[in-house]
Amino acid sequence: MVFFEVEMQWNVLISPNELDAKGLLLQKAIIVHLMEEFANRKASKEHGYYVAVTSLNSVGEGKVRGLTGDVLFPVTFSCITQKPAKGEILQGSVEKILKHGIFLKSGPMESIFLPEKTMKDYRYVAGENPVFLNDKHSKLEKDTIVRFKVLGFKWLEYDRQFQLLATLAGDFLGPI
Amino acid sequence: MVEKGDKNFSSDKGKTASKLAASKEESLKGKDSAPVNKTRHIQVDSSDSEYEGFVDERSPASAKASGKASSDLKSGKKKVSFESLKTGRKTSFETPAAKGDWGKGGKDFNAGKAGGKGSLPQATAVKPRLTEIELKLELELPKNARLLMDCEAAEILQEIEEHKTILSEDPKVKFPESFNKVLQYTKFGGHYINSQSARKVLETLKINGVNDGEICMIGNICPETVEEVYALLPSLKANKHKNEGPIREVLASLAKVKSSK
Repeated sequence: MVFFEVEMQWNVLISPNELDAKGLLLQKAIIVHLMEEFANRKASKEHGYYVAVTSLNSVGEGKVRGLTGDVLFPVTFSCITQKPAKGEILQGSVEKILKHGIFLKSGPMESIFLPEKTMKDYRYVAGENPVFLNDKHSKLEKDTIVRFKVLGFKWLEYDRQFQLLATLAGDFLGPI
Repeated sequence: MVEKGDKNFSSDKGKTASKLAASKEESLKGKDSAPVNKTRHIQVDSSDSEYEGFVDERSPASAKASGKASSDLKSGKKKVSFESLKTGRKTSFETPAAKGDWGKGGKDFNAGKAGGKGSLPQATAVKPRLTEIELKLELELPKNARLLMDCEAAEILQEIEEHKTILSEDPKVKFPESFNKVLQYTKFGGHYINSQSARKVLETLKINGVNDGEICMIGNICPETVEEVYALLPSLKANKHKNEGPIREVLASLAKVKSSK
């Protein structure tokens, strides 16, 4: 999984009641706000999934908003994000098995599709619990951990998440 | 949604949509689409609608599944294939209409056939995608960013996790949902005793022309043999004569810093 440690510049709006004691409490309020923003925004196209705020690097001059009394601070902070990359090797667990392929989950990435065509010699076996089997009786069923390669990915603005296409074509790929 | 559109397609519009969908499948599957067609011949009706449903599921963005929506999707995918698809659609549109065998031949057969015909040039265009064994790692590093290996991220997150119980007492503190998922992922990816020693070992590959992304991948995969490295990271093969020795050494040193679990 590819992680970035990124330094970003955001503006944070702090309400007056969080301003009573300057210093550490302000920093705490800013970090809490950043984490909240992370939880709300989930991910971005450029940086990928927001995972955690690691440090607050600087807090700029605050500007008071006339109407509400909120203060807007420009801040720089470091954080960890995770973004899929084409060609990277990942591990994921099998979520759902369909005739035409398998849906996988890997960390924050929840919509990874592994089409039947890219699964080498694996064949669909129907049944109450459908599975994919290959000639060597290697089995792909629900919750199997699979090592796969990322064939491509797409950012879905509406869902604020990435959609991935996976492949097993290549050696050392498959269930582990 | 696609299913519906296809089931009552008496209009030309519906036809195009299905053709589009058919050729779209092809574009997704690449040249291996021949066997797909075969199976479709056998189980005429149901397989088609199922297929459409599947395509739908794969790309919820095209859920509207009008011809336009799916063509949008394609244009986003690849210019070349879009072009060929365009022509593909044209031919497929004309063929059944001229012959008039659309009604009696059954939609599946037609869709498959016409789609196949239309996508002949496109199959060659998509061909390279099937040999994706050679798929290279393409990494875009955002501004002010540094790459982290799984184990490095795991250590940082672990630290945060330790403070989490105190932090969670404050109801205002929210953790992004990715946090737990990543933490879980990195837990079963944690191969090393500590990330610094792994990083130190891997950094030595830099002078041998192995880039940051590849170093990061090797660290994450924690391969046991050189063959595994080359199989998973085909981009390294180009400089095999130069980097094989160093990689072998690095794997040996990595084995020493592996955690014993």
